Amino acid sequence: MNLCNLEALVPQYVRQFEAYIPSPPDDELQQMFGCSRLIRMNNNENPLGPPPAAAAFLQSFDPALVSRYPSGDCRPLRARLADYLGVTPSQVILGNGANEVIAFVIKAFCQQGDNIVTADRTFAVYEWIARFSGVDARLAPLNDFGFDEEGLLARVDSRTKLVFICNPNNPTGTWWSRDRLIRFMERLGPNHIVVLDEAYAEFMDQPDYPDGISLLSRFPNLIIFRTFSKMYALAGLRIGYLVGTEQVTDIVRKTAIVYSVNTLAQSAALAALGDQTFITATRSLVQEGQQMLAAQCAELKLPILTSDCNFAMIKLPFSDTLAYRLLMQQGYMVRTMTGFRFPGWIRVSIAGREAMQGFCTALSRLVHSRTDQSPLAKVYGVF
Amino acid sequence: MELKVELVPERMPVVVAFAESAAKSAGLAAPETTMLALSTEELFLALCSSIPGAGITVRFQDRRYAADLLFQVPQPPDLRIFNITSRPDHETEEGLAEMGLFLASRACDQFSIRQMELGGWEIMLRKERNYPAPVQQSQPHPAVQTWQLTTSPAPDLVKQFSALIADSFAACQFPEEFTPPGRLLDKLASNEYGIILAQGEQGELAGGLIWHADEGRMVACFGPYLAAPTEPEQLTIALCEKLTEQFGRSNRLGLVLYAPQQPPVAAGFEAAGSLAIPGGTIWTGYRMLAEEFGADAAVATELMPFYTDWCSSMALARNIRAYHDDGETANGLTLFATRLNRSTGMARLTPLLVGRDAEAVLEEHLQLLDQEQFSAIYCTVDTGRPFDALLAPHLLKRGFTPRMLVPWGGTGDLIHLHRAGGSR
Ligand SMILES: Cc1ncc(COP(=O)(O)O)c(C=O)c1O
Repeated sequence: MNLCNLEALVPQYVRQFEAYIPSPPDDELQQMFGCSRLIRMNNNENPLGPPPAAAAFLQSFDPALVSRYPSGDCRPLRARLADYLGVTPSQVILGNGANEVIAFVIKAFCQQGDNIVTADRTFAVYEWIARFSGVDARLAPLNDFGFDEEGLLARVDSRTKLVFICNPNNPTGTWWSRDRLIRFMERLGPNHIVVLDEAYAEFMDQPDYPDGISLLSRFPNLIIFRTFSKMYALAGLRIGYLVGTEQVTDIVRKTAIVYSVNTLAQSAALAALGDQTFITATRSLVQEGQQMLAAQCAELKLPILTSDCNFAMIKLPFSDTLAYRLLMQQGYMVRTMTGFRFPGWIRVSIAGREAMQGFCTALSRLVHSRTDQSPLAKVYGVF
Repeated sequence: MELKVELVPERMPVVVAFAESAAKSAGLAAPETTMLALSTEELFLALCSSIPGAGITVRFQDRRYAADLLFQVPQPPDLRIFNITSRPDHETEEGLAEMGLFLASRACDQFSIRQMELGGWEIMLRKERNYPAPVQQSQPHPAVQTWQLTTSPAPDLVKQFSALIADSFAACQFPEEFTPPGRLLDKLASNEYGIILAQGEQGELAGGLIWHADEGRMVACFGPYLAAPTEPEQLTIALCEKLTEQFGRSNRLGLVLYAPQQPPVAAGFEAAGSLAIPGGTIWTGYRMLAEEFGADAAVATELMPFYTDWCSSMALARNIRAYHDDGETANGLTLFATRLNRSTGMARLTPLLVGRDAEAVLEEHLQLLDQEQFSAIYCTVDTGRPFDALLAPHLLKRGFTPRMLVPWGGTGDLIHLHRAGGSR
C-alpha cells in the first residue's frame, strides 16, 4: 500500500496525537539502568497485593475456564456491586479498567465540535481520549493545588458535554468536600454531565469527603468512576466501573464494549469487594508511608503534598526527569510530574515499609549529591 | 498555494511566476522577490537536468517573516546534486546543474534539503522579509520586585523586549532574528515561536525568554533575558518553569536552552555543553520532558570519551556500542542536508546518508563553506544511526570538536560538533 494514502486516511486530530509509551518490563529496565532490583513507585499500586479472598480465588482458578467467554456484562459482579453501593445493577457498567470507562463516556456523549472541561494538572487520560477523539479538552488551572470551581465554570459553554472532576485529585491529593461539590453542581446546572473520578475513594478517611453515589438522586447528571486497581490491588487484571442514573447508564451502555472484562477480573473483584480488614490495613500502611516521606522531606527541606491517598508529591530543587533517571539507577521508579505540568515535582506511590525506608535514603542521597556545577563543566569548557 | 509541474525547462516561466506571486503575497519587497525568483530559476533548472520529466510539487508557505518555497521531489534524483559543493564544472551539463544549486542557495536566506517522512525529498528556499531598523531605544528598566508571567503579551511589550535584548546583550547572546522588533513580532505570529514575558506591578518589563519549536522533537529556547529584577535567580527559575510547564504534556521530548548566563539548577536545566558561535560561546542546557527507559547507542571510537562522560553526567541509561569502521559496505554515497545562514555566517550540515565517500564529500563542503566565508560550521551525528559514526573521524580530523549532547535529539542522541572558521 502506498503510505501517502494512509496519511490521507488519518483524521488530523489522530495525526497530531502522540502515542503514550508505557514502560518496558522490569528486567529490561534493570539491565538498562544497571540496578539489581526495581521498586515501582510510579503507578499508585497497593504493595499489599490483592485482598486474601481474591488471592485465594486466583490461586484456585481452574485454567479450563478460560476457554469460555466471561459474562458479557459482568452480571454477577454488577449484582454484588449494586448491593454494596445501594443502587440497581443496571446503574453499574464495568470496563477494562476505569480508563476504558472514560472512553465509553466520552464516546457516548461527545462528537466533534463538543468539548470537555477539566483541570490542567490532573489525571491525563480524560484529556487524551478527548483529543484523539476530536473533542476539545478545555483545561482550568488548579487553584492552590485543587480543582478550581470558578475556572471550570468559566470554561463551560453550550458545547460542553462533560466536566471531569478527579476527587481526590491525582496527583495533588486535594479533594472537594460534600458542600463544595453540591455548590458546584448547583451552579453548573443540569445541562452538562459531571464525571466524578473516585479512583482513590477507598483511601479517603475524612468525614466530609463526599460519596458521589449518594448524590445521584439529587444530581442525576452525575457519573461516578471507581476502580479495582488502586485500593483492591487488582491493577494487573484491569477492572473498573462507573455508576450513574439508569437514564445515563442506558446511554453509556451503547458505547460500552461487551466482553471486555475477563473472567479472572470479574471473579477476583467479586471476592475482593468490601474487605474492610484489608482496607484498614492498607490505610494504615499508607499513613505510615506518608509520615515517613513527610519526615524525610522536612529534613531535606523539600515541599511535599501528602494526603490520605497512596501517593505524595515532592518538589525538588532540580529537574524531575533527571531525578527520575538518578533514582532509577538506585532501583526506584517514580513518576515525573513535568508531564502533569508540574515541572520539578515527582509523585511517589506509597510502598511497603522497607521500600519506603530505602526510597527515603535514596532521595536523601540524591538531593545531597546534586550540586550546582557538573564535574564536566571544566573538562568541556562549559562556564 | 501549490503547483504541480513537470521537470522540463519549458515549464520554468510558470514556476518562476508562482514564486513571484508567492513572494508578493507574503509581502516581500521587490528586491527580495527578485532574489527568490532567481533562486527558483536555478533550482528548477538543476532539478530538470537531474530528473528530467519527473512530476514535482511546489508549495508555498507564508511564514510572515519569510516566504518558503518547498520543492517536493518524489523520487531521489542523483542525490549528489544536493550536496551543494562547489567546483562547478562549466564544461558539462552536470556541472552546470551543481552550479545552479549553488547559486540558488546564494540568493536566498536559507536553503535546506530534508528527506520527507513518507518518502521523497523536500528542498526549501527561504527568503526573509526586510524590516526597518528600530527607532525606539531601550527604556530604562526600573528594578522589579514582583512579577507576573504572560505568554500572550501586547505587541508593545514584545517590542520593548526586543529592544532590551539588542541593547543589553552581546550580539552572540541572542539569535539575530529577535531584532528588529517587527521581525520578532512576525516570528511570534508564525506560531513556530513563542514568548514568555515577566512584567512588574506597573506593567514594566522584567525579562523573558523565547522558544522556537520547528520540526523535530526538541524545542530550542533562548534566554532568560532579564532587565533589572531584584531577585534574578527567582525570575530565571519562574520563567524556565513556565516554559517547561508549557511543553510538559506535549509531543516534544526535550528543551534545549541557549542561555546568556547559566541558570541555577533549580530552573531545571542540566548542562549540555556549549555552543561556539561567531563572537562568543553560549552556555547550553537540556531539559528532558519525558521519563526515559534507556536506549542503544552507536558511537565512533573517537567520540567515545565525550559521549560516555556526558552520559554519566546526565545519568543517561545507554547500551553503548563502539562503532568501528571495519570496511564493511555502507550506503553508496554521502549526503548532507545543508542549512546556510549567510548573514550570521553559520552553516549546519546534517548527514542524511553516510557512505564510503564521506571524507571526500565532507572536504568538498568545507572548501565551499570556507570560500564563502562561513565562519562557524556545525555538524551533528546521531547515535541512533550507526553509519553516522563513520563520519566522526573525518569531522575530528578536519577541526570539528564535540561540544554538546542533546539526548533524543534525533533517532537517538545528537552529538553536536562545531568548527570555528579557519580552525582546520
Ligand atoms: C484518577 C484516576 N482515574 C482512573 C485511573 C485508571 O484506573 P484503571 O487502572 O482502573 O484504568 C487512574 C489510574 O492511575 C487514576 O489515577
